[in-house]
Amino acid sequence: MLNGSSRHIPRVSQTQLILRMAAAMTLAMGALFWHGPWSLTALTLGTAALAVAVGAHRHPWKRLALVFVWQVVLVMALYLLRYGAQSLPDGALVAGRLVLLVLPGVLLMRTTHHGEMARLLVRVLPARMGFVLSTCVFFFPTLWSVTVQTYESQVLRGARILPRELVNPLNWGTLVRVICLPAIVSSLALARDVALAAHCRWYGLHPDRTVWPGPNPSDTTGEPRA
Amino acid sequence: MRNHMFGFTLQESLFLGFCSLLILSTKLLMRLHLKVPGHSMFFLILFLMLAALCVRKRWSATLAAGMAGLLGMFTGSGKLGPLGVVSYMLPALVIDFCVPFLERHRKNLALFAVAGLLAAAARAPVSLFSEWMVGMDLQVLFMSTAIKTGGGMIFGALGALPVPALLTKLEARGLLSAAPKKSGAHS
Repeated sequence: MLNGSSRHIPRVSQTQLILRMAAAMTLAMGALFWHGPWSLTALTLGTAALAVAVGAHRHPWKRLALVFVWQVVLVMALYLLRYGAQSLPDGALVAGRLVLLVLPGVLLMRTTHHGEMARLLVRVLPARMGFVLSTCVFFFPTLWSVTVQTYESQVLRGARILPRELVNPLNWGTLVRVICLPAIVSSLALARDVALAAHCRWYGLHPDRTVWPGPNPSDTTGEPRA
Repeated sequence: MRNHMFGFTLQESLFLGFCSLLILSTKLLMRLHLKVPGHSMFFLILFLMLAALCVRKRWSATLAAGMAGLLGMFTGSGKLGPLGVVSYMLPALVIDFCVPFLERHRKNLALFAVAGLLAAAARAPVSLFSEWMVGMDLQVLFMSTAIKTGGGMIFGALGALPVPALLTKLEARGLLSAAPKKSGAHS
């Protein structure tokens, strides 16, 4: 459920991804720090070029647009309330710059397969952090299915935690008591089990990376290998 | 149990990872159903406080928030990119700072609410900084930050309120190790 929709995202090479990230970072930093006379035009053109390069037109963009509409409306409404109608162009410029600050990162995240991003990040992160993150992502569906089962049972029992009932924040206490507490209990138990299973395979015996049962399957003495 | 990373055992770091995934998934789910500004703070503060008070080590909430930020970047749920990691870490730093006080006064609900309020307010600098650098008028800047952060602060305080009761339940069922600092709090 964490990978969003099942849309097809074309794979890119790691070098291409690093280049795209550098371009998005430069554009966002430009929106923040560069206030020259032609800055807005250049940044808009740059962001449009990035959008074309990452193939943003092939992705659903309506929800993406909705994310920014709220931001633009809020800024312009505040300018209108404070300074009147003549300040609306100023408000529009500031709102445009805010959109240009956030848009390159959003474009990059939406158009990159999360596996590619994970591979890039795991290359940068220490191996132990990478192990914890990948194990958590791997076992999370187990935890989530238990939570969903708990939710269904609680709804059948009559707990007021249906989406339409959760609009009322008074029902959030019930949600915490009957869903969040079991989720925490399950995650405590699951973390204990996974850690025990890893320790049984002598994970973490050596300071560097260990594998079990080793590169040669016939030699299964259980000896951990660095 | 030996040290796995940053002074946490493997079990503790896995638990913090699960907490970070619970934060992300509740955020994704609630965005589908609710349109109230700042409501994602409720579960962020709740799970970060539970993570910090269950693990009972320094920087545990910060580690959980860092993992949530990194995983959020994987899944593309954050709309701020690298600033997203900072916006998770700032409330977590406040919670880590408050944990010694909260452990000493477990019965004091008002203290928990204030800690949740402060932690939610710690997100304001991210929006203040980015909007100030963009060149927004100062008065408009303060108003927009107040609107964005105010709702989050109320939900943050609400999210901190059930934490002591949940901890008492977890301890009563023997799921947490006995509080090591209780004897220290007496003296």
